[in-house]
Amino acid sequence: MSELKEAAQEIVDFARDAGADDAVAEVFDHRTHQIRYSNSRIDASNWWGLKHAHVFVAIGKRTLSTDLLDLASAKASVEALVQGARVTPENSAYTGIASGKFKYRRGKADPKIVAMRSPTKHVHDAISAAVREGATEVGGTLFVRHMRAGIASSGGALAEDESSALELSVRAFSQPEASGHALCCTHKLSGMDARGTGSRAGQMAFLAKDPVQGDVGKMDLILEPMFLGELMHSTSHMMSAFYVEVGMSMFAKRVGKKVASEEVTLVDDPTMPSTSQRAFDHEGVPTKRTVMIDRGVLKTYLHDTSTAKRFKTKTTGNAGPYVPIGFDPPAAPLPIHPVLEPGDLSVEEMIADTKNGLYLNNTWYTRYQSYSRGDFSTIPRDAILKIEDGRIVGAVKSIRVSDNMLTLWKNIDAVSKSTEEVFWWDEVAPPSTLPSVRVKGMNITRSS
Amino acid sequence: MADITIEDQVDFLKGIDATVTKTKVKVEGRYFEIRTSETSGSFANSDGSRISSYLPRVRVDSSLVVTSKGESEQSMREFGGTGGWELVESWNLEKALADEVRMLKTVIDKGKMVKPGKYDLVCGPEVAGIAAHESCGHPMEADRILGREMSQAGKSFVKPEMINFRVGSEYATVVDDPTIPGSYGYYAYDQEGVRARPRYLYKEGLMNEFLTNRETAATLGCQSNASSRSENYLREPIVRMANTHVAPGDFEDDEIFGSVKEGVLMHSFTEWNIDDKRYNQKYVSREAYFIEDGELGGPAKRCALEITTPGFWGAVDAVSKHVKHNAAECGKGDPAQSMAVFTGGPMMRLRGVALK
Repeated sequence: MSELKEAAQEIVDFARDAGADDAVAEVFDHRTHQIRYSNSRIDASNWWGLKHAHVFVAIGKRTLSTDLLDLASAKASVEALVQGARVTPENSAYTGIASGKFKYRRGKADPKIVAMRSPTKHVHDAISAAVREGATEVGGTLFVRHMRAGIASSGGALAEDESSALELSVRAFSQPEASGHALCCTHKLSGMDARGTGSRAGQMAFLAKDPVQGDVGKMDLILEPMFLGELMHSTSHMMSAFYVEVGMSMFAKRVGKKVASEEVTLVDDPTMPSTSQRAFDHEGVPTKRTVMIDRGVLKTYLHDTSTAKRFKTKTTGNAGPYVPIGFDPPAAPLPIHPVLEPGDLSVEEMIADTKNGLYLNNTWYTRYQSYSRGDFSTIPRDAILKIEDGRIVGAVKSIRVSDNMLTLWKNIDAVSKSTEEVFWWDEVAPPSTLPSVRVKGMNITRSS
Repeated sequence: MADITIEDQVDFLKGIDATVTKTKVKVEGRYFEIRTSETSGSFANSDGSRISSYLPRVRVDSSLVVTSKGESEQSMREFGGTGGWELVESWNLEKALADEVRMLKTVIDKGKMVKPGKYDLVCGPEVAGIAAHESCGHPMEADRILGREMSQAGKSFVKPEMINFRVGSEYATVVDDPTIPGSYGYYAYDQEGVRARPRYLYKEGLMNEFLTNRETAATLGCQSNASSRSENYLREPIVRMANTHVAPGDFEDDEIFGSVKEGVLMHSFTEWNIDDKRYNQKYVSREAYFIEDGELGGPAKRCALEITTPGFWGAVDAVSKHVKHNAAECGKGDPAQSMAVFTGGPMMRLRGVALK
């Protein structure tokens, strides 16, 4: 048995010996190298090596979890955790962990990424390429990741997984109010195209020059994968049974109903090669491809074992971490790698077929008046290009998309055949593989 | 805090849930969470500073979705402070959240949409606070101004040479003060060992002082004003806000709306956002009331203010004496770091702004 699996199994054994009925341990060994750059030069280089374990225990319905940072004292810590669980109030929502004989596909990291020691060349390539396209200031990040995890549970889970990732973000400015943003997210070194990514950011910044105040009213929008990835953050979270249960999902009570146009088939696919490929979820269930929306019809929410029992269905292998990560609560099912199935048009064809609209590079700050209704607004940033009679005719600024998210998904009438993996900062997350889409008649507003 | 067991905390949340449920308002979504933390720190640097710190923090989050007559409204609240369980008791959450769901039902049942047009707007402390945070605190962060956050949280419409530049009326003063006792963003020294003090960011409508750490202060030729904070020991300290609020003025609360002929009191907000140079912002009301001839009228539903930063601060013509604070989590940095802050302010009047 390999080291991480062995460590996870040992923690589960400690928990069972101490009196836990159920236990899950996931041991992580993550190596992350980050290079940050701004104003066209590197401003920080960080390296983190972190080995730790998420541990969950249950005595009946009394549950408790922790993030164990000192694995050398695991036995004493786990005994204290079980002791804590004894005096914890019952968690009525808990219905047990997955049990059975599981089969796993073990992931593999790209050895060239694992061996990478000096990734700055990619950053310099990206900056140079953006500057060649006319950028005056370039900023962004490069993350080099090597992730290993081992999991064990009292339900029979025992597995190990490994993955690698390169995530390059390039934001280029050609003027103070003219910028473009491009990404390259890949699980293999051979997929890294720093020059191409820098060029693309620079080209978008060039097209965004001399922006004028945007018009308000209904418009057709062509959304790049990065823009769509930002919307996917909230859309895919609202697929979680947890958010449905607490009233924070526009998909509540809509299984079997039309929630998007027929152009939309949305799946969660942690099994495809990507930067977020995973062999198992956080309770040790093998991951699988789950169709969430099939040609516009909502098929299922995302589940772990507990939510699946409450919804009288089966887990989809989307159990989230047992400790809170960022703004996500603990033990809530979460999307892992959303994929919007491609269509059959090129982006150029979509532009040529648009009479009056906007081509949108990126957005941020998507916020909801009401998650259950789906009323939201988001602020496009970077290139906002005006389309008239099938041609890009200039750039605009200072607009906001203020509409309804279900309306947006229902108004998609064209999907590109090209797709791109996107993951950026806290906004375009989780990593997703997405095409460009055209959305008809969305409401555009701006400051008065 | 040590005297309060997990069982006590869960019972406390169950008590809130029971009170909210007993209101007979249909609350289809209910989520409550308590987070407590105790952080001990030791700081030393080559200047000879030796600082020991201990910061206990507590926070309660609630998410409530009220339905009535086939419509729904949501409320997401956060209560937080630096201290112990006595803070949680002082928030009187059973009453506050029961009142909240009754208010949401009233908005659904009786609220009317605002006819788009120009009105006088009275911002309650929660709305004044979010504006202070988003369109004063963030654009006055020196690392943004110097471009270091250009590819993440963004840059700023503010340039280094804009100290003393007018951004608002003479009534617009915004202060960021880490030293407020018991505040959620409290600290005595920042994470570069600089002693904390109040920073007047906008003073009587002029840009007065940027938030700086040692690095940005050196670039700008000034002294750090102790704005360096990090989420934990694994993250780099960067320029952050602490407790950002509109400074109090001379008016009583009722005087603020007493002279309004036709307007809206936006007491609190739901949806909000702002662009990455911190110039175009939007706030949509959660709780709002029409004002007619100086009197508060019925509830206004989802009233939206979409306005520029100088447009907002330039329209302020009265500020009340009574400041209230709200806890919030501020996100910035890469990897993203969540930071405990207060936002806040007194009741504040804006003359002739466009509402929809």
